[in-house]
Amino acid sequence: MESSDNSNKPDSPHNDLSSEKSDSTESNSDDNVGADGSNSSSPSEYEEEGFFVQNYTINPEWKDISPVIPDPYEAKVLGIPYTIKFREAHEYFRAIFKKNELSERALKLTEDCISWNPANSTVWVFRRKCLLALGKNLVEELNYLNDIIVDHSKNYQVWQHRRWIIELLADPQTEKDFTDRLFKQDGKNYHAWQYRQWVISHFQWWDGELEYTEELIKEDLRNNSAWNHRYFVLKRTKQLQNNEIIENEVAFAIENILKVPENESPWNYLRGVLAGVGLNKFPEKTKVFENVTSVHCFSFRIDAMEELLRDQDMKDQMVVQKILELVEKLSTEMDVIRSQYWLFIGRTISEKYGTKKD
Amino acid sequence: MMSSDIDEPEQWDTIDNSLRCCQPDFPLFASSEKFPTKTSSEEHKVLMKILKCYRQARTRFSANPDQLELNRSQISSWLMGGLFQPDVFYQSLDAAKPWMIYWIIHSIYLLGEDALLNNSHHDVITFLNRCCRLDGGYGGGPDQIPHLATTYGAINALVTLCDTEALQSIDRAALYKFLMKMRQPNGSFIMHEDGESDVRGIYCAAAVAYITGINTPELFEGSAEWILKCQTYEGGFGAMPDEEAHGGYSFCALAALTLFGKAHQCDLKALLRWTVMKQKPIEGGFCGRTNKLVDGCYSFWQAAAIVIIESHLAKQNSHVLNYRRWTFNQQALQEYLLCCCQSPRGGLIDKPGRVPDFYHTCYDLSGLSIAQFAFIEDMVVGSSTNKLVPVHPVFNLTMKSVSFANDFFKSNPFVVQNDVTN
Repeated sequence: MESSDNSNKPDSPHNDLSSEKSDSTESNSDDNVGADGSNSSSPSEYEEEGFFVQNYTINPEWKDISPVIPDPYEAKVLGIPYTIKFREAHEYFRAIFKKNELSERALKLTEDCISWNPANSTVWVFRRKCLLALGKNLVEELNYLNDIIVDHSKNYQVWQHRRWIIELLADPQTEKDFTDRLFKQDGKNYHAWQYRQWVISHFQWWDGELEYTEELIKEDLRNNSAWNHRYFVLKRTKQLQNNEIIENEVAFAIENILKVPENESPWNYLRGVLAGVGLNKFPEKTKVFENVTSVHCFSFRIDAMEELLRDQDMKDQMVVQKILELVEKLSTEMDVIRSQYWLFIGRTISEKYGTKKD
Repeated sequence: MMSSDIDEPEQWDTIDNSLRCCQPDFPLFASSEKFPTKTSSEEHKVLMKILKCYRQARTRFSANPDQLELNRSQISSWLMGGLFQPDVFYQSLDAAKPWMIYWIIHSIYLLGEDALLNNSHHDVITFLNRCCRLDGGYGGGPDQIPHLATTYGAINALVTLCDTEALQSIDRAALYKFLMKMRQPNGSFIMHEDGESDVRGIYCAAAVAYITGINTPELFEGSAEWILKCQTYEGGFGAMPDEEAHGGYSFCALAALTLFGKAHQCDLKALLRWTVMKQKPIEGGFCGRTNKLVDGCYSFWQAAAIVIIESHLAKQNSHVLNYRRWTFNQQALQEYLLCCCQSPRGGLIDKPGRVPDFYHTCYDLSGLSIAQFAFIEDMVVGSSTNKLVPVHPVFNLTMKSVSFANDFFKSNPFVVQNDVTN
């Protein structure tokens, strides 16, 4: 569901296999596809396949295998005009997969299929079986995977494979640097963050993480993934129960808020660190918001005032009025796109805390 | 870049159905950021392209908003071409064929062009059955291992057809067995054998189980509790506990909780705030995460979540809702999709500058449908021919398909076979 940005073509080293295919066949995650109408390849030409072609059909090493040729029904819908190399590799893969042949040649074949389509989970699952059966060196497998991930960093299968390798190797030491390398291209890559968070919690490798988020936030205070990671680290290391730490984080959030009050990330973070103690816990710190004008600031103040009302027996109508003023400003001037939402918030507040008039 | 004047007729003032992008206060150019970072400069680039689309729309439609059209015939012929004569470039989706079929067929049904497929039901059903020979679920293609996402795509495609043959083709006992196999002891689901587990897994499993009537308490024991752990401090849900809130996963979480009857157990207020905040104030479309770029596909994931949230709120506190309008801006969303996301090639796109694909076409259209129908009032931007078929926000199937499936499976109740071998 992650929408992938095909724009982040890395300037990374390519391996021979992946660089020979055209960029437009790249599959980036399982939803976006670079399908433009300009059809440049004609799939029926052997010669354009070049000398990379595996030629399974004429290769004596494969002559004992009869490829699974799709029957005509398979092409009645979505009859993709596969390139010969793609089709051949997959026809042999189907045969090997059915036989469950966990061999060297099968492993090589999976590599070929992956070079064509790294989003095929069947191929990856089968590859893992081969690797285990053949007792392969997983450090080599990790090296093989590096370039594939860099080229297809929004694909679920490659990250699952990496996690499988690292879990078996039980050695994560390369992994922070590896994800960092990806964050240099895209600091918000969801898969890479998921993976890093798995690594640090699986191996209890928390040191340096908080500083790392600080660095990333300094670089781009709108990088919400970095803010989320900061919260992740504090929560998982049980530091959010400590008042002193909460106060520090409040100060950190406010410092960033004041730089760009329209930036939603630190506002959400502020709400997050205050979730356990209440939005009004540090009035001397949040007082500064009275001089800030931004949608998120008003939204925060509305919720903070609502918390006050919730605890009062006699609902202070001055506070209700103040909230409704802010709501009015939001719905008519500052955040018109969300006017329906703000009107809804206003009605909810009046209904809950207002004196009944109508 | 400075906002500058542009000579245009001042005709918008009193026209009731005038477009948002034709209002006098709508910005014509993107103003530069005072505190630029990588995020804001990327957003600025996108915004410039979007405003170019809106300036063109202003020239063309400010006097005649009714002429803003969804290019129906172009879209449906592009979709039909994709289903029967796809391009070689789609070989990279060789492991996602049931998905592609669903994206295409659902789009065609949203357009109300079902008749185009009248002679093809049998071929579609036969093909999907070929994807389902191993282990009860549907794989990405024939001889591929079953995957929960392609299973969801396949079942949704079959249900969309409103065809008894399609529903009869589903082997529910085998499907149930597959779902049970993907289920983890903590209530989460892995996407496939030896695969990853996240909130998508639960949604895909829940959607197919509920629509085919094979949902049992054992199948989803602990699932709601697992999902609740995925709601983050921001209000949205991440893929797994404590991961960043994300529109796609948020939708999956909320839709699954809704099927389980447990949506009220999450913080709906925070979820609503986070979700409405993802609608971009100038662009009009939604982004998937805080401070990310607008993307047409979130027109469905985020807006449908809002519709679901409001349906729950309607039960709790009915008279503070406005039943004529959703709490997101329906007009702005429709304008984004109509003015910025229609490709001249026929499909719909993520954002200006991108090429069309079936995924975005499906979710752009689904989001457009969501934005056209509130509880009691329709609101169609542009030509009245833009009106689509209403969609069920939990399953993302047409309402008609959902009720057809409900009727069919109600008259064919499912009984769990206890002697199912492992």
